[in-house]
Amino acid sequence: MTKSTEERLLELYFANLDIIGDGFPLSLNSKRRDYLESFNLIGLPSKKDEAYRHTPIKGIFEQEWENYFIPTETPNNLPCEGDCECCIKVSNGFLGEDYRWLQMDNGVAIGSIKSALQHMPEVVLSHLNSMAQNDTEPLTALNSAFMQDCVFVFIPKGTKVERSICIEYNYSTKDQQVMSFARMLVVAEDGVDAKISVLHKNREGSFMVNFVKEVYVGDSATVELTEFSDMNCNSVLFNNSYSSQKKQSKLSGVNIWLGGSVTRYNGVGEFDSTESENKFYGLYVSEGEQVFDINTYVNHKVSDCSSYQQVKGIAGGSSVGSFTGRVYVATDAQRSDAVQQSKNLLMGSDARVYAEPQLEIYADDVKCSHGATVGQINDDSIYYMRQRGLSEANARKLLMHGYINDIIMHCSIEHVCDEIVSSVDRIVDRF
Amino acid sequence: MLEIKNLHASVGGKKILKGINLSVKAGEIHAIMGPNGAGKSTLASVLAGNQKFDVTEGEVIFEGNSLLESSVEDRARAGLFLGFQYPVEIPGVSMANFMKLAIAERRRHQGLEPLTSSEFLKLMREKSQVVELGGKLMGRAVNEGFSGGEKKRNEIFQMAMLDPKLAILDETDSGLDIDALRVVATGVTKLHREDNATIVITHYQRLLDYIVPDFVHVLYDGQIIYTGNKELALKLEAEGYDWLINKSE
Ligand SMILES: Nc1ncnc2c1ncn2[C@@H]1O[C@H](COP(=O)(O)OP(=O)(O)O)[C@@H](O)[C@H]1O
Ligand SMILES: [Mg+2]
Repeated sequence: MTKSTEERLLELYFANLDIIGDGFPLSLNSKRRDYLESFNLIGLPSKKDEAYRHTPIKGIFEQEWENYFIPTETPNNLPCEGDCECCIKVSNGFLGEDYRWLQMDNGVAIGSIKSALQHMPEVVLSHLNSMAQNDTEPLTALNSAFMQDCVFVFIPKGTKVERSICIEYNYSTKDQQVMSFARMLVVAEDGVDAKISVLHKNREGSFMVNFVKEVYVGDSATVELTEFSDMNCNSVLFNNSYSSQKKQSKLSGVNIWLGGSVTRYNGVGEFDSTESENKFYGLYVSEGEQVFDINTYVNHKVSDCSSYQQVKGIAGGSSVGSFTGRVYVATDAQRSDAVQQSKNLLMGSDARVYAEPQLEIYADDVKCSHGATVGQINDDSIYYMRQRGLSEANARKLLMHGYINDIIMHCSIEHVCDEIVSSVDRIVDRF
Repeated sequence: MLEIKNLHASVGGKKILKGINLSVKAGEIHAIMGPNGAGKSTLASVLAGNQKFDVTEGEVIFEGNSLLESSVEDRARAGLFLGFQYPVEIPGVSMANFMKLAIAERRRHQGLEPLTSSEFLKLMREKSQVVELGGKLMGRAVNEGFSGGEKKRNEIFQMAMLDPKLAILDETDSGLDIDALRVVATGVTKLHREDNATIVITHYQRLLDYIVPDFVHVLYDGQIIYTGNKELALKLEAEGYDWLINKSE
C-alpha cells in the first residue's frame, strides 16, 4: 500500500528528529510530538473542505518537496536599502551566523530563537506557540513540529522605535522543489511604538513555504506591520499569522501578496483585552492561473474593541481570488465595532473572484458592517482622465495605481512602499 | 475656432441631436440653454469625443481641423476642455498627481518641456486662487469626498491649469449655493481672454448675472431653435421656454 502524504511527513520528522530539535529545550521539543499528532489527526485539508475549496492543499503536498534540515546558503549580509533600526536576513528559513543575536542600545533585540532562549528564555517560552492554533490548524501544527530556526523580535516595555525593523526571508534554490517551515515571533511589550516589515522574496527555484508568524502586542502598544510576499511562479506560500492584543493596543497590518502559483493567507487576530484596535489592509494582484486565498478571523472576545479590514484584489488572466473574512463577536463583547470591506477589480475575462463575509455576532450593542464589490475598470473614470489629456493606457494605469495606493498608503515604511509599488507596477503594466 | 455643421448624434439607436449648427469665434462666450433632456449634455459629450454617442451626420471643425475623427485625449491636448456636469471621483489618485500628468500631456502637445516640480507647484498655487480652492484639496484624491461645490470649483481649477482654447462647461452652476456660484462664475470670467472661447451650458439664467454671454442659444429636442443675446436669457427666465417651443413647432 502506498503511504499517505501525512504518513510520509511523519516519517520525515522522525528520521530527522535530532537535527530538528537541536538546540531547543526538552520542554519545547516534547510538544512537537503533540503538534504532529494533531496534524496527523486532522490531516491535510482537501478541496472538499469548505474553508480550503480554493486551495488544493493536498495536491500540493503530494508533490515531491525536499526539506533542508541544515542551512544551505549563507544569507547575504548587505544592509537593507532603507533607513532601518535593524534588519535581518533569513535564507531558506535559516538565519545567518551574523544574525544570531543583535541587541540595540534601546533594548530592542532581534535574532534567532535559539539565541533568544539563552538571553531571555522566559519571554520566548511564554509566547512561542501561545497564539498559533496548533490544535485546529494542520498547517500551523506542521510548522510548529518542524520549525527549526525562527526569527525573534523583542521590543522592551515603553520603547519607541523611530526607524523600522526589517526582516527579509529569502527563498532560493537550484534544486527541484523545496519546502520551508519559516517562522517568526514578535513580542512588543507594553507601551511600545514600532514599525516592522516582513518580506518574503523568492529569487530562484520553487518553494512551498509553510510560514507561521506570532505577534504579541502589549498594553497600550502600537505596532505597524507590513508584510510583502513576492514568490516565483511555481512556488506556494502558506502564511499562517496570529496576533494577540492587550488592553488599548493598536495593531495595523498592511499585507501585499504577489506572485506564486498558490498563496493562502490565514490571519487570526485576537483581542485579549478591551479598548484595542486592529486594522488590516490587504492587496493581491493576480494573473495567469494564480490562486490567492485570503482568510481572516477577528475574535472580539472582549468589549470595546474595533476592527477594520479592507482587502482589495486585482484579478487578471484566469486567476482566482478569494477573501473570506470572519468576525466573531462574543456575548460579552459589547460596543464592538467591526468593519469589513472587500473590493475587487476584474481585469481578466476568465478571472474569478469570491468575497465572503462571515459575521457571528452574539452581543447586542455592536456596530458591524461589511461590503463587497466586484467590478471592472470604470469607463467614466477613464473618459474623465482622457478628457484631461491622458492616454487611455495611462488613464488605466493611473486608475489602478489609485486603487492600489488606497492600501499601500497605510504603510509608513518608505523603502518598503517603494519596493512594493515597483513590484506591483511590473504586474499592472501587463494588464 | 469651432464650427458645428448639421450635427446629428444618437445613443443606442435613439436620435438625440438632430442637426446642430453653431459657430464660435475666439474671444466669444456662448450660453446654451434649454429644458432638461434637450440634448445639451449630449452635445458636450459628442464634442469631447465620448464614444457612447454615435455621430450619424454632420461635421465639426476645431481650429481648422476636423474634430470627430480624433480621440478624446487628442481633442483635450489640442485645447478642448469639458467641465463635467457630474465630475468623477478617482480614489487613491491625488489631484496634484493627476494634474501633473495632464499638464505634461498638454505641454507635450504644445511642444513645450514638462514643468519642473517648483514651476508646477507655483502654477497650482496660482490657479487654485482663481476659484478660491484651498491648497489642501490638492493632496486629496480627485473629487473623492468633495462637496458638490468643491467638485464644480475643481472643474474650473482644472480648466485654469490646462488653459484650454475652448472650454465647454456643462451645468457648472447647478447645485451651487449663491457664494459658490459667484466664485465659479468669476473664475470663468477671469479666465476669459481674446484668444480663447467658452460655451456655458445652463438652464438657469442666474449664472449669466456673472458671466456675460455674447450669444444665447436655446436647444430644444436636439436642435438650436433660437439664438439671441443676453436679453434672451432674462426673457427665458421670466417667461420660460414655451413661447419659443410653440413658435418653432
Ligand atoms: N447614455 C444614454 N443612454 C440613453 N439615453 C440617453 C443617454 N444619455 C442621454 N440620453 C437621453 O438623451 C436625451 C438628452 O439628454 P441630455 O443630453 O443629458 O439632456 P440635457 O443635458 O439637455 O438635460 C434625454 O432624453 C436622455 O434621456
Ligand atoms: Mg445635462
